[in-house]
Amino acid sequence: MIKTLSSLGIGEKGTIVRIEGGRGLVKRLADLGFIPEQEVEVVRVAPRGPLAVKVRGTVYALGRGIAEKIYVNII
Amino acid sequence: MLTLSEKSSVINREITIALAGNPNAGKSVVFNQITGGNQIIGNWPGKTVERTEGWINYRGKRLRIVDLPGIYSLSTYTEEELIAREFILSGTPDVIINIIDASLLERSLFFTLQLLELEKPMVIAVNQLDIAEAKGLKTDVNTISKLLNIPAVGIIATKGKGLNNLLTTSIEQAEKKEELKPPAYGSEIEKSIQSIVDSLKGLYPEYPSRWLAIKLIEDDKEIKKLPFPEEVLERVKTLKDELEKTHGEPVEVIISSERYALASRIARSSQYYVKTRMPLSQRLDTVFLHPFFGYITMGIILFIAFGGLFEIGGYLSGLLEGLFSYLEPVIMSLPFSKVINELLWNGVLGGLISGITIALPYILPFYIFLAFLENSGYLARIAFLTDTLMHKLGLHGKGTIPIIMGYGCNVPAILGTRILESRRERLIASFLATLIPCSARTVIILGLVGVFMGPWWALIIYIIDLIVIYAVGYIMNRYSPGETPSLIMEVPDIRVPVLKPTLRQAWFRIKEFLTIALPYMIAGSFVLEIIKIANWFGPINRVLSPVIVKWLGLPSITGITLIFGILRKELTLILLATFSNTTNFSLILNPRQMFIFSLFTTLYIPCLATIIALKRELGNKDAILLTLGEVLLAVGLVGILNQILIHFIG
Repeated sequence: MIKTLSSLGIGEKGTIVRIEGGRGLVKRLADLGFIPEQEVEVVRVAPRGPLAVKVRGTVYALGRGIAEKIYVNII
Repeated sequence: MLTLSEKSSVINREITIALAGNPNAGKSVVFNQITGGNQIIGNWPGKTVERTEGWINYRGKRLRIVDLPGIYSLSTYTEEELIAREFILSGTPDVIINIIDASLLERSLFFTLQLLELEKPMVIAVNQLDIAEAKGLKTDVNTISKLLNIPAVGIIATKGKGLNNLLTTSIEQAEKKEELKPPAYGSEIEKSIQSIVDSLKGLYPEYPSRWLAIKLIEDDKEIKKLPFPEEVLERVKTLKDELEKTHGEPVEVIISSERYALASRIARSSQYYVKTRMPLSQRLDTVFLHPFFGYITMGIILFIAFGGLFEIGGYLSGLLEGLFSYLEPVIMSLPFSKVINELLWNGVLGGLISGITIALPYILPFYIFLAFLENSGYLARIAFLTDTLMHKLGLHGKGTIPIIMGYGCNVPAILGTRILESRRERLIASFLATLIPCSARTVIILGLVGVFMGPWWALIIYIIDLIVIYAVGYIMNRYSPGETPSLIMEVPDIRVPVLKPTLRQAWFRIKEFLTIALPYMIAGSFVLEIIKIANWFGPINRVLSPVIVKWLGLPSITGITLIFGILRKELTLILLATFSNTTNFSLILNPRQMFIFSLFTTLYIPCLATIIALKRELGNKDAILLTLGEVLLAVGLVGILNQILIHFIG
């Protein structure tokens, strides 16, 4: 099932399907390890706020706006 | 005396080592362990990015160690990335030490692969082996070395382990001077790269041609600025289109994916996982990042810290002032005329002394605390927790950091807005930072309202100030064009910070105060003394009296103190005491006036040094606009509050 990363709850995992955004954003996220087929896990969620997302062992805080642009296939 | 040839051989023997790595990989710790105290901190030419260099004599060699900014990638996304890349490409370093975090091997190696593309002599320092082990990760350093085909040394920098081995290996590599061959990516990409390399025909020999080809494919901002023959650009375009068609991804993502695929292959072959219990950092995060308890914890930490810091500050500055007061009779008895002695004491030393009595007791401990928060990883948690709130002000969570910095001194806070991505954010954050009561303003609030009305009234001023900041941010966000970018920020593991790099960071901030603010404080005191001697106080007070007396309800004498407060905010209080010949302010101000006076000095204008900082960061026009805006805001808002207070309490 494909959903946006922002709709995942704490502890939920998914693999990235696509990222909808400008080239700058997509490239910057790719540099941090957010690339298609990569597994990501939501570690913490601030209500109506950012998500703490774990990718390749590192936790990143992603603003909700960005998490809404990342589509994942829920595992 | 050395002959010229001997001199040059001494210079020749100096080996430049550049430290490169991700943020939080432990670069600063390695740097400090290697160089000891022998280091200089400055800025990269023309930039506000910190540059640290150190020298040591090691086994008969002179080593120069340059600590590059911590970055995730060598694209030109940020100023730090550009600085690191230019420094390495300039050919200055004889060898690069790439410090990688064993507990985050895959991500670290992603950066390593980009460094290798630059084809310079390099050694890998696999750091934080102990932290990796605590996470259940066993690392085989030799496999990393074998797969990347360059030397790798395991180290635990915080304990000083493996550093001798690292230095000897690095010197060996530097002296071999052999260009290394970067590992190959997937065959399809390599074919495209090779095809561009062929078309380049040795163009721009100062850059490795394979790297240049990759950057052309990646559409790199800086490389695109260079002129290339039409056929090269055409070939790049055809290849890019082909790649994008087969992969269905933008070409930058394809290249990043290639690097990550290789990084992850190396990480998997050189590391294995043993199950352990959840590391302490993660357990702490269940509280620190909790949607309810996270905020409670943050409130408690900041409240206790701020309260404690200013308590200590007050005590220490009292001690210092006592110490300096012994100097006054010495200066006054100098064999010059009374006017000159007074000019020396009040005009020259006065500014210096009050700078020191603010900087040492208040600002320094504050920035040590802040550096501690930053290096422990807690500041990133604050940014996470405040992101939602800050979005209402047109900032994201990182915007909280310069605003907190403002409580020490507004100058480093404004320079600190550089961590924000867009000019719009920097503009908003700078304006909000100037409204934060810095140490000097805290001295006024605590010394006047705190002492004569009680600490709770002082707290009310802080709360009113926060409300004003919220309102101003809200309005700026609402009415200035543009959008707030979303937060992207690493949340590093919570850890105990290492002392020396933490102190170094605090020193870097306080240096901004000393070099930018202090000269204006001294110059300001000098001008003030001249005006005092010329006796211009009366006329100035009369001109200001409609605003000061009628609108703000303050005694006319405060007019001149507010003028000089522009130079140094705490001067308002010092001058008030001087002019009224008493430090018992309850004799000259009633409680309403104390409250209004403190609030007004907090808000009415950024001090001169802050205006200079605004000018440097935002340019003349915006610096003037923000300053005028602040004056109008304070006169309007505090005046209305005064009229209300008069109406109710008289």
